[in-house]
Amino acid sequence: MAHEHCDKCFSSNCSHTSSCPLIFCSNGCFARMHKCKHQDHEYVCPNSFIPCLNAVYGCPLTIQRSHLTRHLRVCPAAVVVCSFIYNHEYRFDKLDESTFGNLVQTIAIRDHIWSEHCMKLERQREEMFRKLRPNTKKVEQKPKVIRSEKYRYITMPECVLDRGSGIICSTCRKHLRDLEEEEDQRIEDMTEDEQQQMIEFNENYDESSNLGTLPSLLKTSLTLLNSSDVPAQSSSSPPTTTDASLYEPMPIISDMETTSSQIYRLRFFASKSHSIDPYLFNKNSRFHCDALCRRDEIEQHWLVHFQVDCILNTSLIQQCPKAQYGCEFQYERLEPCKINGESIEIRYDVNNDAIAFNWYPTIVKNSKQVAHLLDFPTELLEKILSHLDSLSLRNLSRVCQHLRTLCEQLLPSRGVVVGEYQRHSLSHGESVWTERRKHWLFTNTTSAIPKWQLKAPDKSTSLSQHLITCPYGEKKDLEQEPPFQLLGLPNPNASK
Amino acid sequence: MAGNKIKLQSNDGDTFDVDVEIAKQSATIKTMLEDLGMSEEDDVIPLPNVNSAILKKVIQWATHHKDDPPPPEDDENREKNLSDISSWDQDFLKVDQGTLFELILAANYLDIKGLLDVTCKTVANMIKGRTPEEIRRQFNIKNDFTPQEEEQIKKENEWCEEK
Repeated sequence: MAHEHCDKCFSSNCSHTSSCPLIFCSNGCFARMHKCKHQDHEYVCPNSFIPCLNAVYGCPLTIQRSHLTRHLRVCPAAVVVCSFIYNHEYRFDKLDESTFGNLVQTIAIRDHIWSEHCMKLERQREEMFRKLRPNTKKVEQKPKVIRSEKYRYITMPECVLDRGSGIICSTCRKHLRDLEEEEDQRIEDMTEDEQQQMIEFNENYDESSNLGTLPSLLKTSLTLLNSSDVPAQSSSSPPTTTDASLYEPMPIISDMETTSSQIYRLRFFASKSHSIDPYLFNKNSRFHCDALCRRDEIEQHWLVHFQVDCILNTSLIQQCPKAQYGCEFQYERLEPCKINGESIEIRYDVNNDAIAFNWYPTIVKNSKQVAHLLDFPTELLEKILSHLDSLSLRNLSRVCQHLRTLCEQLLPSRGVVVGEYQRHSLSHGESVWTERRKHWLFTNTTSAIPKWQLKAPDKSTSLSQHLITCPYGEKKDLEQEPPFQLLGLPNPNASK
Repeated sequence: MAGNKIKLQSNDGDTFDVDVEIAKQSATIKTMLEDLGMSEEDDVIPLPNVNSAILKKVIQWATHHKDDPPPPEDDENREKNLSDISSWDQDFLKVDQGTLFELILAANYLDIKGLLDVTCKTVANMIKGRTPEEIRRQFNIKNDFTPQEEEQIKKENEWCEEK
C-alpha cells in the first residue's frame, strides 16, 4: 500500500516533498498522516464508527470506537449469567406466616418446585436416551467399508456425507490418506503371517463378511473412527427425514428448552401457578441461580443474593441459640430500612420469579386528577422510566399498550438480547447449532435496597422472652455442682 | 445585582416578585433574560403554562435550592442516585398526585433540571417493585390488552427478532 517513504514516516510535520501529501483524519480525530495510510488509520481511528463488538450476539449499535469501552458495560448483548449456588438450611415450615410476609417460605417453595421440575425433565431425557441407544448401536454394528485405492486391504467405515451425491466425507478421506502414508512402514514391521492374512482378506472381502474376522490393522482404523461415535449410514439411498431421526440421539431441540436457560424458567413460572406440599421440601438440594443480567446490573443482583440468600440463615432469620439441640424457635429480625421516610416492603414477585422491593412514597391521593401519566410527553415518560430497575420495566411493559411500546424503545439501552439456538442434526450423525431468533427482554433484576435495620421485637418474637421458657434450655443448680479443680495442684479437700 | 427582582405572571393572572438569581434556575427564564435582552425592572414575564398554585410551589423550591451547585451533566450513574432525595424535597413533594404531575410539567416547561429530576424520581418510586395491576390502580390506567394478548405477554414477556 504505502510508498516506501510513507511506510516508515510517522512525523506529523513531514516535509518530504516527493511522497504523497499529509492529510488530517476526515473523522476529526486530529491525527495527521500520509494520504496513502488513511485507509489503515480507519482501523484504529477513535472517531470512526464501528459496529459493537457484540454485534454477532445481537447488539444493534454502531458507535464511535472511543465510546466502545463505555458501551460494553451497558451493551444489551453483554449478558452475564449469575453463577450463584445456594441451599436452604432453615426450617421454613416453622415460620409464622403472618409476621414474615411469607417471603422465606415462598422462596423455598419456588426453589423446590423448580428442582422437582428439573429432575422430572432429567428423568424424561434419560428415558429418551435409553430408547434411542439400541437404535444407534444397531446401526453401528455393520458399517459399510470404503477401501484405499493404493492398498486394497486398508478399509474404513463409510461415513459418507450422504446428501445423495455419495461423496466421501472429508474426515474419512483424510484419515484414509494418513493411513496410506504410513502403510509402507507398517507392512515392513509386520510378520509374514499377518501380511499373508491381509492379502487373503483383500482377495476374499465381500460386504457381508463379519467384522470380527478382520485383520488387526483394519480393526485399528475402524476403532479410530468409531471412537468419535459416527454412526455410519447406507450410501445408496438418500436419507429421508425419518432416517435422520432414527440415528438422532435426541430430537431437535432449542437451547431455550433446557432448564439452564433462564428464559425457559421465566416462562415456566409465569405460565401457571404451581403448588406443592411443603412437607415434601428437600433440604439437601443445591439450587443454581442461572439468572441473566446486564453487565451493569450484576452488582445489584449479587447484592440481593447476599442480602437475602447468604444472610438468610444467620442474620435475616434469628434462630434460638439452642437450635442445635432441636429448638425450632426462629423469627425474621431484619427489615429494609426506611429511605427518606419511605417504607420499603420486601415481596416475592412470583410471576417474574424474583424478589421485589415495594417503595411507598407518601403521596396523598385525590380524586380530581387533572394530569394523567399517559398524557405526559414521551421524553418526560422516558425520563421517569430511566430511574427504574429492570424488574419494574418488566412489570410496566405489561400495564398497557402505550407503556409497552415505550418500554420496547428502551430495550437497546436497558434490556438484554439473547440468541436462541436450535439443534439440527446432519445426516451422517453430527449436529450443528444454528441461531433461530433473538429474544429481547428485560431481566428480572431488582435494584438492591441500601440498608437493613433490626426489627423492633414484639412479645412473640423477642428472643429474651423465649429463652426464659425455652424447653431446651438446661438449668444447672450451681449449689450442688462440684467445685472446679485445678490440674496439677493438690486437691484442697483431699489434703484435709 | 443580588437584590434585583423580576415579575413572573401565572396563567391565571397573579404576578410574583422573584429574585433574578432564583428565577434564573429556570433555564427558560434565564434564556429569556439573557438572549432576548428583557429589561429586568418593569417587564412582566408571562408563563402561560403554569397556574398560580404550581408557580408558588416552584418558586418555593427554587428559593430553597438557590445556593445548590449546578447539577452534574452525566447520565451515567442514573441507577446510583436513585434514592438520594433530600429530606426537604421529600417533605416538599408530599403532595397529591395531580400536583406532582403538574410540578413535573412545570419543571419541564421552565427547564429546571433539579426539580424535574426529583419529581421524576418520586414518580419512579411509585412504580418501583409494583405489579402491573398495582401500577394501573396507582395511576388510573386502563388495561387495553385483549385477554389473549395479556396471557401471551404474561407468559412470554419478550420481543422476538426473527432471523
